[in-house]
Amino acid sequence: MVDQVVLTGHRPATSVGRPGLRRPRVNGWALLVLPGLIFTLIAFGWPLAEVLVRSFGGEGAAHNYSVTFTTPAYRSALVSTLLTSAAVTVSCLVIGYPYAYLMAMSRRTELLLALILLPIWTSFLVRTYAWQIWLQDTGVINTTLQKLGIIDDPLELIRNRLGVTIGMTGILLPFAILPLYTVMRRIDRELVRAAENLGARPSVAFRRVFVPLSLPGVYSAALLVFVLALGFYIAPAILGGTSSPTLSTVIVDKVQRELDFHTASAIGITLLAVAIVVLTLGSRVVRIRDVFGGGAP
Amino acid sequence: MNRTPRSSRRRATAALTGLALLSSLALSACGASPASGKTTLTFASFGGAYSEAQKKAWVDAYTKANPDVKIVMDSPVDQAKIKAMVESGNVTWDVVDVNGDFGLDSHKALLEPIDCTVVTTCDAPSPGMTNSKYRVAENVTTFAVGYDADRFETEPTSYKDFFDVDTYPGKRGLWKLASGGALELALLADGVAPDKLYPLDVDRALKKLKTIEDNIIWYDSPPQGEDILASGEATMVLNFAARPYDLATRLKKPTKILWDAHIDLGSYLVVPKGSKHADEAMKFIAWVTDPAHNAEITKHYPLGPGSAAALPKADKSKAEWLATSHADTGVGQDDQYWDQNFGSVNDKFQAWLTK
Repeated sequence: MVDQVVLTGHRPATSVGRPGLRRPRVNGWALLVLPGLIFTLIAFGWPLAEVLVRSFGGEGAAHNYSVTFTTPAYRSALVSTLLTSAAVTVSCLVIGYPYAYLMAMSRRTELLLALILLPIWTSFLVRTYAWQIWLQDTGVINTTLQKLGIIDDPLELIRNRLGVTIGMTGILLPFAILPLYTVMRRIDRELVRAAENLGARPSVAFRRVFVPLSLPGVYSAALLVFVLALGFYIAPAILGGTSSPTLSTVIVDKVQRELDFHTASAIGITLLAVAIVVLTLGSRVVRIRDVFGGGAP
Repeated sequence: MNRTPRSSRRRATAALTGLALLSSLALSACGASPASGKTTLTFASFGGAYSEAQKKAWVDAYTKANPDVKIVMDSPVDQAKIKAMVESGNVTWDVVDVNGDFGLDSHKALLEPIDCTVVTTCDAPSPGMTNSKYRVAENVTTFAVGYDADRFETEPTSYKDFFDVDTYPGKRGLWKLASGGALELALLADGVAPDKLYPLDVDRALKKLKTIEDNIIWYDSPPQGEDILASGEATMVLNFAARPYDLATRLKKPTKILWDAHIDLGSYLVVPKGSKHADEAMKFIAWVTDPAHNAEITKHYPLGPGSAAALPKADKSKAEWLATSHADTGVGQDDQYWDQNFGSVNDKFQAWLTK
């Protein structure tokens, strides 16, 4: 299906039950897709194939792939990676949903959009260090609260999962807001108004009409943020503590310290497999191509 | 130690690295063409102030004495990159500054043997350093406890005070890297004799660390270790001695070092296998490790000379900060041990940390 779309440049006719009868004609313009395709194969396909091949080398696939599950340190890193990603997803949704709603309803959409897009142009690294300055024991938040006499001992805001979640939420928030906004923008507001006209209180109309219609956006945002969060390295390294290791940190240790490319590759493939499983499960409730900015229902 | 004080500058210099890589590629391409008449050596190090010091100490002088050689400096060093270069047959580094855990016999597939007819100090590294067929000691660094003198009523006098959080309150900083010195310090403080330190009794070390676990901040990289001491989050931090030196000299903080125990480790020079300028690389290594030039580094950075004969020439004004000035209390980190056991010890250590 997808191949046909690419080659002919238009959607295949609805050939229900008789696929293959219409052979797609290759249009000359379709050749324009080749550079992109070749680039993708060289820049993504080939390295991925290398990683896959390496993951079978060394002491063998069985060993490489089992260490993630048999070594306590890696197993807890896997669990911790999943928990952190889940926490980041929830917090992105909680903060992102009202913001996206505001964007969809406001006349100042561009301004609100700029506010969340501008930080993307600042390096992740710099922003993560900035969080460190805010969150550390002698940081802005703790010293202010201490000066005001609200707390005596500094709150533990950093070097734990809370710190990582805060930092990663700051970075991934736009990736939750954009799909939410895309879906909310297309919700016919007349429907909400109609519910109100028929006697529903605004809160009820919102809950029973708007929220269900926005759910595809919620699923998209959750899927996108969760999958992106799986591979984060900088934030867990700087803001995380010993209680929230991530698989990405384990991979770096394997590659840089032990020069064990084979096990590192296997752990990388494991992480990829987790992402694929999540996307597959997610595809049951949301069309994957909608997640990445496609048309909303 | 892959991430030495300087390697961790990689984050700060991340943006520059790409640029440096690009330019080094372009330059080494020029160097390969005989038409230019100049040999271009690429010297990879850890970047930042450390590379700067190496440039002032050796690179500038060497290229002045050898006008037909051009040296391009690249950073940061990454052992994995050496492996990737050698395996892909595209070796762009000719001389590489590596840490004690690299360059032993187990890495022979990745390195050219040192030509000891050119390099004169193969058999005479500074005490505690271990040369091999593939590496020569370049300088000596150390893990030592730095502390903030203003934070205590009476100043600590012994590294054992690191574990006494009642008399010397405040958090303690340790590197969450298995070979980052924490295990060695814990065992020494627990009474293990320096000559009986290896093989490490990891369980005993972890038990000792557990006694102050609520007070430990496990930092991720040496610059972070420096930060937590500078910001006052921690009052004592085990780190590369260059870090407290930086706080005391550049930032004028009341930082001091407990020199009565420290874990010494070396930086070594190696030549990746398949370097196109291996002969020229040996000559440069010979210059750097030559006792006549080797101590030059002490003028620019708080590191001891790696060649034994250069020790007397170390800069007197920096003596207080050099591990080699406190050699009597130094314990050499056992590179062979870490080379063979890093994986298993690290797995155990990380699992313990996560609990």
